[in-house]
Amino acid sequence: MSSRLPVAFLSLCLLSTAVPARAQQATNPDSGAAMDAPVAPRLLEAAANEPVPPAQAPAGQEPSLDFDLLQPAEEAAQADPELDRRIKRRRTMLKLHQGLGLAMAGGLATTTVLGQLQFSRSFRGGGDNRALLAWHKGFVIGTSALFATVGALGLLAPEPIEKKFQWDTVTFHKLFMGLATAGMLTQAVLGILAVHDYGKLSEVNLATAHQVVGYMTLGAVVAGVVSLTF
Amino acid sequence: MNARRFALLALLCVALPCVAAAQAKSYSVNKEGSTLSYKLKHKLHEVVGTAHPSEGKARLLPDGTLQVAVRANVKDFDSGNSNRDAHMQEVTEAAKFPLVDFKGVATGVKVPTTFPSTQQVTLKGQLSFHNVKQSVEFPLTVVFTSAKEVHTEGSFDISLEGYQIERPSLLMVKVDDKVVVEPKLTFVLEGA
Repeated sequence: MSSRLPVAFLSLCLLSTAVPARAQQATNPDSGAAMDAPVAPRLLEAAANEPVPPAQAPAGQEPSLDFDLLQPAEEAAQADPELDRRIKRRRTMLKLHQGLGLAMAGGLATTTVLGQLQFSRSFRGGGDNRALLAWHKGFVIGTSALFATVGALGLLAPEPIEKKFQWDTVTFHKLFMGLATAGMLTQAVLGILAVHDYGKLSEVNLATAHQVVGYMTLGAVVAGVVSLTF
Repeated sequence: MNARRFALLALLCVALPCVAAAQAKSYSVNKEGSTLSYKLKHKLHEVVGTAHPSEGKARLLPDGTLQVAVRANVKDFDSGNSNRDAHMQEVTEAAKFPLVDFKGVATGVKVPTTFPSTQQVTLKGQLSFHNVKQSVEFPLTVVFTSAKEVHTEGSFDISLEGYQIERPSLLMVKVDDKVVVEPKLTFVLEGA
């Protein structure tokens, strides 16, 4: 009788070990194959491999953040000083691009108003007073210089971060500003020709074309600015 | 001698289930099935940028403490506008500080016996961004979708200026200082 007692006790102990493992297998049917291995050695191995969690906080105390589950940040990613330098240069140039661009848009609107007033005076019964023409020319020169500067800042800004092409707001901005550039060049040619043909019949046609292209150029600039707001 | 061996063996057999039951459960983030999003407001529109985490782990301790650590590359955030994303990387100095890291702890998380099972907990932790660490605390919904998978969702606000980030401006109007961060993370039991 006394020799059977240890055997019976040992059997009970082994049974108690096996039951939780079977229960886990029931909730985790995919692990069936793995569970065919002897249970006790696997549990011992798992217990040995499991990192010891940090001491748990006593009741009423905040749990500690003193644990590391991820690899050190220094190994995950490295800072790139050269990239940082190029990004800062781009930021400076694009800030100037934005500020001067808004000034240019305001200047272009003023130029258009002055041009329209002069056109009305010259060809719509305004007494052919050319007093505003000098102001118009002055704003044309200033606005054109700003337009070229703003365009150069945008085009020459370094692009340190690789970007895949997509039809986004900046793509539309570039498209509209490309149209505006074509408009500005056409305006210059038409304006010079209109002044050159002063007093001739062709002056009205050239001035009218200059007026129409002027509104289209202003429209393209406004669309270029507005496209960035979406 | 035999009796002593028997006693040791018996003790080992009794202790084994206890050791197994007291083990922490470790989870790895399912990168493709997880997202980290930010919502940024400007007077004229709202921007939503999303990234997949580059790394993430969670550990559920036997006492119900959930430890979570998640990391993403700042350059991975996509708002649907590559120029805007480049601008975002400029203001956040992504070249100098390429990572956004979160580490947090929640208590009272229990592994359910039936699935799916949802639990509401409060996650307290630290968000490291732009080389600044700040404490965050937010309600987290933990959904045990199966014995092997856990899905978590939450939302919290951060301040750009709090992280020493110069607020980007559009048409001379700065974006709001508040940014809403929404992590939606799926974790898979390790070794399952």
